[in-house]
Amino acid sequence: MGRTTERKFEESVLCHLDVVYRMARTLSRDPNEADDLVQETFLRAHRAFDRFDLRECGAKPWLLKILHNVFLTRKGQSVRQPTLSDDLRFDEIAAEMDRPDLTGIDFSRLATDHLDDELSKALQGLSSQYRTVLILWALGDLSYKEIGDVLGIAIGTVMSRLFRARQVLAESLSDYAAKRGFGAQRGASA
Amino acid sequence: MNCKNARHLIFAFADGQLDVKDNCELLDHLKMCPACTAKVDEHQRLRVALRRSLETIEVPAALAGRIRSSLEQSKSPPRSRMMLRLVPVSLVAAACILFAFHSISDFVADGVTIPTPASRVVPRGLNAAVQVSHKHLECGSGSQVHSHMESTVNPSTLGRTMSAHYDNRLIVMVPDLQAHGYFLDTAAYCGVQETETKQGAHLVYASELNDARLSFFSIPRWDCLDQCGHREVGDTGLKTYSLPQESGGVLNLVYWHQDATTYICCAQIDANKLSLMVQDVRLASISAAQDMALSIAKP
Repeated sequence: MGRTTERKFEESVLCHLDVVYRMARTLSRDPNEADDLVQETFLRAHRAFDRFDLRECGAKPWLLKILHNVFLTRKGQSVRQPTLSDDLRFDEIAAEMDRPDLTGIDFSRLATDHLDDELSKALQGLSSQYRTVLILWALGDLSYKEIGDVLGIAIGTVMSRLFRARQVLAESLSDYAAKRGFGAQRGASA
Repeated sequence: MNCKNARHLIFAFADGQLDVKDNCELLDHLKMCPACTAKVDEHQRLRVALRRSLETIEVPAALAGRIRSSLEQSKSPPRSRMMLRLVPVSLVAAACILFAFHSISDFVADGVTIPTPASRVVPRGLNAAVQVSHKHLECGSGSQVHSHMESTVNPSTLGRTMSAHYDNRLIVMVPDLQAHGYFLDTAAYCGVQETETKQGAHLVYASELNDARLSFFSIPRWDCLDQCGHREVGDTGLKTYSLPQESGGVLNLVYWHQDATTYICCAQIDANKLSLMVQDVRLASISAAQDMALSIAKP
């Protein structure tokens, strides 16, 4: 890799270290394993950087995809590609969103409330497929298409998992919210 | 659009995933419907709260150094010609085949996909450009969202003051556009989106006759802008995108990424003229930013 490419790698790829590390920590829940995951991710990215076109898609989704693949490989799970049967039709997603909204939590009051620990606990309590999609959504600031690419699932599945993950997360937080007076009215819909 | 139809689109809207047509229709509905507006707000608040919670995970200070040294170590030393000469031709051929196979499988295992035109997602990038446009129009018309900086802040130290607001994680540029007929009018910490997830500085400049506004944003790196169908301005590193306005006219965006920051300038000014203007101030701004980065790096 030439000096210019090295500089480009430094500027456009290494600048995402924080996001990659936080994602690794949330996936592995172990600081040492997260360190290893991140180092392997950047090593792989470095090896493949010559073949990667930054103009077509940003470095961040690419890095997160590598990280996710490294994580799955270490866990002995196969890396998957989206299949046609994965994709939900819009009317299926719409039907899902027509179900009563269980959240009912006044999230507008969360900003002033110290609930980092509660959220963190609730997040760790989610199944890995919901947790991962929420992290990519909130921390990675990725589009649905990019999340789908990272996880090897279709856009409809991303939307559906996000919707369900929000519901489960809100349910986990409902006791906390109720105690602080901005709690849920279960079954309330918009 | 009624609430039932809107509900199917609300989350995608809040995440900036809708195309322009659906975006506009939903915006019209939201203007009249506080319940759906609250849903959008709730969705965005959850995202902000989650992000804030995840950002409390501290990144080890030495990790970047460890990665750099492992990258250095991974660079294999050049093999001696003598060694290569000693390897039988058949082994070289076998090695080539194995290497080719490894490269291909490595390529796939790394999650690198060869982008095709069909795989490009235009709506999100387009939405990003639309959000820039909304923020420009909203703040340029004196919106309350765009709370003004203290008038006592010295323009020459404004960039430093605003960067400090973000703990110097974001280098805010305050270009001097007086030579181009634009004067700094207001500055605020409103980023591009109204959520905290898109933080950043927004400077509004007024024309000499006070009949036009120009926006200059310094925001956390926003690569999805690159999907709006922009064109490159020669080899300057600048990118430009033209967005027709409902009120007529065209809003031109000129932007570039620099490390972890994206800088965007937009105005209803001819694209070439705006590019030249940005190119002109960019060099001075880059130099100023580097000075600032150096001063921040020094203990």
